[in-house]
Amino acid sequence: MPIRQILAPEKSVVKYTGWLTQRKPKSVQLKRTFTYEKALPHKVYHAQLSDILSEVGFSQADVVSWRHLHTDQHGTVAVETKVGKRGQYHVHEVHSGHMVDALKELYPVLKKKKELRTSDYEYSFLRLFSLKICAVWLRADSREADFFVPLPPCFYGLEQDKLYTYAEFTDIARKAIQTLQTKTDTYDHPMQGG
Amino acid sequence: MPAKKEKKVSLNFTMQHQLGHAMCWAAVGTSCALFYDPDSKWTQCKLASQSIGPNTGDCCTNPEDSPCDIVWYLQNDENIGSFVTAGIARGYEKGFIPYKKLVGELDAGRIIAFLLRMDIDGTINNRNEFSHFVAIAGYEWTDSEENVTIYDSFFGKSEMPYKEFVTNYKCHGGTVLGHAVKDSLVEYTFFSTPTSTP
Repeated sequence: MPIRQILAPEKSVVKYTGWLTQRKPKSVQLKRTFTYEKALPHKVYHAQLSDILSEVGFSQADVVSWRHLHTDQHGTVAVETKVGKRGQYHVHEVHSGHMVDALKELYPVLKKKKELRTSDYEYSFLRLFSLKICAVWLRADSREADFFVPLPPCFYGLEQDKLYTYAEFTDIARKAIQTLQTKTDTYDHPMQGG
Repeated sequence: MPAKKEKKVSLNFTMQHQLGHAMCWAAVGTSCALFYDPDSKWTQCKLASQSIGPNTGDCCTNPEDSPCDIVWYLQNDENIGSFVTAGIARGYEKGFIPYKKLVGELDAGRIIAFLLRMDIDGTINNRNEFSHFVAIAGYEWTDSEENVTIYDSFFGKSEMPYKEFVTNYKCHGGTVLGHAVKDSLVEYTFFSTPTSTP
């Protein structure tokens, strides 16, 4: 079993199923369809750029939320639940499109990968917004054994669906930060964005 | 018991993927221009190179890392930017607009764009923020909710409460990685309008 099934916090699941009850009542009637592989609960990680540049790398990345997938005739959505100041969860956003589709489609493909058969991995989502990098993060017991699979659109030479070792991915992320440093030099007006 | 009030509007809008990691302004401008006039033939590289200047160079062969893959504008105080070049600019406001005003724009069939200023997750070159353009092309309100549909040229589509969007888009407001950031992420709101083929 290369990908370890994990349980989301109960409060997060309650908010997810509450959203389904409200927005997708027919799906709740079909409770037998709830399986780990369909909802694919996963953590969302953010990482400090200064950590990536240093030896810390991704070892101190933070969990900012939990997501759960839902698929019906309209497509797949990722329901993101975020913990509030007092420990309560709420539905932060419902995300859909190419990135969510790719994350869902990767799961059965990665389960069959030879490279992933020797260890157990947690299926997670890495979001490096300022770098414009998002990836499936396959977390092993130690960070050096992790793998990353970039999600589209991909920049900095990253390839969609390609499995990157921790060292390879960290190296590209560091180059991306250097590129961002160059780009931020050109910010000279408060109405610019990129 | 009074009937539950609710209304949903979803404009037939498609957001293109941005072609370079800094080209969200070109993707938003092109996508909005094609929404108003599908025959306008705008592309991101064409719109970007025309918006930046007459001698920008080749932005189409390899948009990423081209002279167009830079931070730029939808519209600025000198009337420069992708909305202006595409002929769809209709002014801007500092900060975010009230939900009712946003609903009025969408009811009239007009896309609203926003410039978000967010935490960079660290500090590089003495900067701790970056800016990113997105568009809103739909809403759904009920007695208890005021939701919007956000189109992002990097992430795709998101539905979330408007209040959450302006303060905490992609978990980049409130508290980020252990430190508090400012309450509103929205620096500017941009209005758009249909136009004729360039």
